[in-house]
Amino acid sequence: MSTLPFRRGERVNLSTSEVMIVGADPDGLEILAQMFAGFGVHTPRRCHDGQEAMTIVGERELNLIVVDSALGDMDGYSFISWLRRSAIAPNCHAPAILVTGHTKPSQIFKGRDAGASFVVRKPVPPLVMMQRIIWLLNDHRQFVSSPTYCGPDRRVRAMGPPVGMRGRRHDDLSIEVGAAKTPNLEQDEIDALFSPKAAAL
Amino acid sequence: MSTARIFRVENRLAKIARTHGGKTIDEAVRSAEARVASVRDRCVSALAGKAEQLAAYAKAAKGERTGDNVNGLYDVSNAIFGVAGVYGLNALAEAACSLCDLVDRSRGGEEINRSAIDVHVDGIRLLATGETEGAESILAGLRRVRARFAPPT
Repeated sequence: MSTLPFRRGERVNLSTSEVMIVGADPDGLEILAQMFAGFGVHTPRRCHDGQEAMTIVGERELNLIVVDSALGDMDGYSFISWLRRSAIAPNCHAPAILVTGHTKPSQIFKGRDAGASFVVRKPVPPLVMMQRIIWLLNDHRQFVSSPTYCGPDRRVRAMGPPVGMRGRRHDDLSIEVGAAKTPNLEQDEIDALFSPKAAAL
Repeated sequence: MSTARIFRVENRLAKIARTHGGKTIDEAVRSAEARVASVRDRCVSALAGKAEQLAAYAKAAKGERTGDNVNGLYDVSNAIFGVAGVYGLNALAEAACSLCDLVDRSRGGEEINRSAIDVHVDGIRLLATGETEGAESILAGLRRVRARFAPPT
């Protein structure tokens, strides 16, 4: 909690946001809808299966999509994969949270590789969901569209391109380190960069 | 090397969320907790029905590794896990999660003893009816079955 980029006293205004919640289980859907209504979302839009959700994606501009892994007519992974490749802008770039009960590593990778912005494990208490929303508000990841993947950049840390490769981005850094162009920092300036800061919640 | 297009997209959610008004995060979370608690009775009372659905899928899926009945078994146990977990029915949540794992492993081609699945379904049916006194012994039984027939990978 202490490393989260928010304080509990901060304000968040979701009243005009368009949130779509998709899931086959009516009770699971009800719990999520109540949660988002509590967060201040005026009318969380509920969809009971993937087909209904696909129709809504084509009709309304959505700001956040929350998808259960079980949708009845398809699974949540396939829906997110479809969404990312649908080319229905701006919805195809909307943040998508995948909610799943079963979280073995292969399932998490599957969700990530489908293009989910986050995979959240059930049960999802409101505080955890709010944490994920705040993360999404601060998410500056770029979007990637390639023959094998479409979705938010999966590289959370910038490690540079693999050794021996040039990289595909204009801002990928070379492995060669050039000569310094600015004076070295003094020790107290270095120390200042590492000084711990309290994060009150 | 494949061609990848990498681009920035506008964070429209952040733009909306940072407009004037709204709630503090504390207020939003408390309000959400209260609203989730307000539908507790309705959601918990539906669990017994879901457990019966589970039993029907298990019966229909006998011998199958894939298909609609097996997927139904997975989806309903996933739904039970979600609701039970939210409302602190931990024994039921653990049993449902364990069944999810068994079914998923079976779907993935692993040899899973059918009895292990049936025993889980029976345990979940008991726990979903509100059986709390024997919950720990039911769970202990399911854990033994898991250890014997399908140890965690």
